[in-house]
Amino acid sequence: MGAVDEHAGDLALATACAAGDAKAIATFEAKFGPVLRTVTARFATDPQHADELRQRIRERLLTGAPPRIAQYTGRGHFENWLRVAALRICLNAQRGHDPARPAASTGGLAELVDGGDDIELRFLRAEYREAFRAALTAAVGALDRSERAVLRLGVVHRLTIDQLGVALGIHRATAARRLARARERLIERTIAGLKSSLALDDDELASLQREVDGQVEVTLSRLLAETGA
Amino acid sequence: MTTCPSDETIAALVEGALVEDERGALELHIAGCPACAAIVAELARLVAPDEAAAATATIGRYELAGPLGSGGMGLVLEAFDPLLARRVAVKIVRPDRPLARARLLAEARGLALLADPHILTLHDVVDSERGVCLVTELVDGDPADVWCRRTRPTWPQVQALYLQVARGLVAVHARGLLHRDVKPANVFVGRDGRARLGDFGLVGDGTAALGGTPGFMAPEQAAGAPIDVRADQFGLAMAMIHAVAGTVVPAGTAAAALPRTIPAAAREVLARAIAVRPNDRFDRVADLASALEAPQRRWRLAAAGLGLAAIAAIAVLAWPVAPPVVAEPEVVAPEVAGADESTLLVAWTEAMHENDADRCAVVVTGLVAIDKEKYEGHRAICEMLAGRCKAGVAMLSPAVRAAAASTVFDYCPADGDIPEERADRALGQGKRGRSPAACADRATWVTTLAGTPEDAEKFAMNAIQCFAGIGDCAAAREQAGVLAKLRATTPALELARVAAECDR
Repeated sequence: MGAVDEHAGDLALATACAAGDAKAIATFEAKFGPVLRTVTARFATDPQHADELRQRIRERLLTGAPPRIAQYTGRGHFENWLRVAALRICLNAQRGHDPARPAASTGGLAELVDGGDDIELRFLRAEYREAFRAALTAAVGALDRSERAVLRLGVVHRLTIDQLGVALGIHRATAARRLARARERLIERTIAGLKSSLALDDDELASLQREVDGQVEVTLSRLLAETGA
Repeated sequence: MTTCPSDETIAALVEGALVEDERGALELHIAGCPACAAIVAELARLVAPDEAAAATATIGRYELAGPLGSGGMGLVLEAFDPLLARRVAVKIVRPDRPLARARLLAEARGLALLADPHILTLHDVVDSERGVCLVTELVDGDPADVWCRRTRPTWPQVQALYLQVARGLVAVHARGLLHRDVKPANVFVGRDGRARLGDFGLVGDGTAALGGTPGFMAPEQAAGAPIDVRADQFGLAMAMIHAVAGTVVPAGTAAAALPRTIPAAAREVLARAIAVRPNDRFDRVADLASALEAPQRRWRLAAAGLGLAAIAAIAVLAWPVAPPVVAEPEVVAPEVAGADESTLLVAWTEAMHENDADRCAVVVTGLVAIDKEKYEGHRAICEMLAGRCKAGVAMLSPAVRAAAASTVFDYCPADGDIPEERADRALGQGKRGRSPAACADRATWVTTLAGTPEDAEKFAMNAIQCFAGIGDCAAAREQAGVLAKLRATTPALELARVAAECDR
């Protein structure tokens, strides 16, 4: 797509900043300072920490050989490129700086299920608990990659439907439908797994199904959220 | 795991600027890469419109209400203008998005230059600390993509809608501007049936390369080459194809490969408009519109005459005759036995003007005895006049009947009550405002409200559509008679309209 012309001004600014032009850097600060502030506000509640983060972003973007800002080629909106670059720097900083709050980069969905606590499973009778966990884990493992992407963003990162639509570049209605479908299929597979492992009669299964219907999503969200960012 | 995407690719994802293949690949990458998933999630949180905050506030004098939707650039909200006491649509971009702000102002300047019934009307622009916003008319209706999914329009409906959009585009081009992003989501269909072209964020003069939407974007625009009015023509034609096919087709698709639900002549026209090379398309959008309208215009001209000429034209306008399965001798009613063709045609015209189905049925037996092939269509009209829509349709040629495959004639009551199921269905399909009472109102407006003959015609047509929409074909036929008198044409034409309206 030939969007370069539209962003020619920002591309010129980025190039001048990369070359260390003081006037260009001042312009960059004035024009895109607010963008950086909204990014750092998500990672730091106290102003001092936010300042530190912004300073770190500036260093990474504007110094070095070549400085990171030179990577902008004018393909899309500069402000969004800047957001992505700043987010990467903040997420890396957080990982090094705050081990108590690991970023979401610690593993796949299945491993998140394994690492969860049993506490939400108390609603199930003891003899079903292990079967339930196994069925849920198998169901998560059987998700296709597209379902996984939707659940990761929607459940682990707890995006709203609007945010999910933006994150996947799709309409919010499509996002809502896909999230709902992924959840449904997870529940279906969990119940199918329970049915085969527990050899229940129809009445028992119906009763268990009611409990699972109500709880699997809650359980999954909590299990995933505990280790998610 | 695949290689992590570049920062620019991730930015392009949330801008909706990736083509479907790239988008899908990135989505699969996110499934397996928690680091990139975290970036995308945080970016979405930053970029997604903040509905909760926006929904409880005012901008300028406008009181913001619920969201209407959100695009790549900002949030579109319904709002109330207390000064003029009217509902408006407000499109906001956040203050921390300088480029989006510049683009919105460009849209405002483009819109301000244009005053056309088929262009979204700009009321106001507000530049405040909460952002820049564009205040436009609020269309009571849906974007065309939603409208298509809801109403499953027939080709004539699609054509009628997009010919209006074509008129709007002609106005845009007359100003030396290009829209650059003509697609169903940017066309708003009012409940009044009027289409407005909106979302002028990309309006420009053809030199600045701005992005359009993949699928609806002409190949030269996708390639970043200079574009002219023929790129908008491409988007318009593709939107029409999308409306019936539910999907876009590749640029340069041949007429023969376009959906069969589009008449052959229109397929030829559309294939030309979506040609890969601009030189192979029409020169102007107006030329595309005339080419589409040409068969229709012949129809209208044919029907504009009176008396015998008009009746002779019925064979053209209506319905090719179904070949008889078994050649049975025609039974001529005693009243018309021995009458000659012109006498019978006069009698038939009178019967039509009086909405006299019985007389129509009698006279037509004489006509059919004289020339079965020529007058079988007249017989179909008599059947419909009598309320036997199904029987009328059965007399039509297989080709025409096939076009009416999803016909609602099955529901068309033999001059009886409206089947409740049908009425419920019509009302449930988003056709709010279509109730027996509302339709009766419209019928009254023909005489009480209409200031000009044109208005009266519009109200009458509206009433026909309304009654047909709720399944009351008898009332629709009655309005057809009213419209025929207003237009001084034979009611056959207007009955054809009822048939078309019932065909939903």
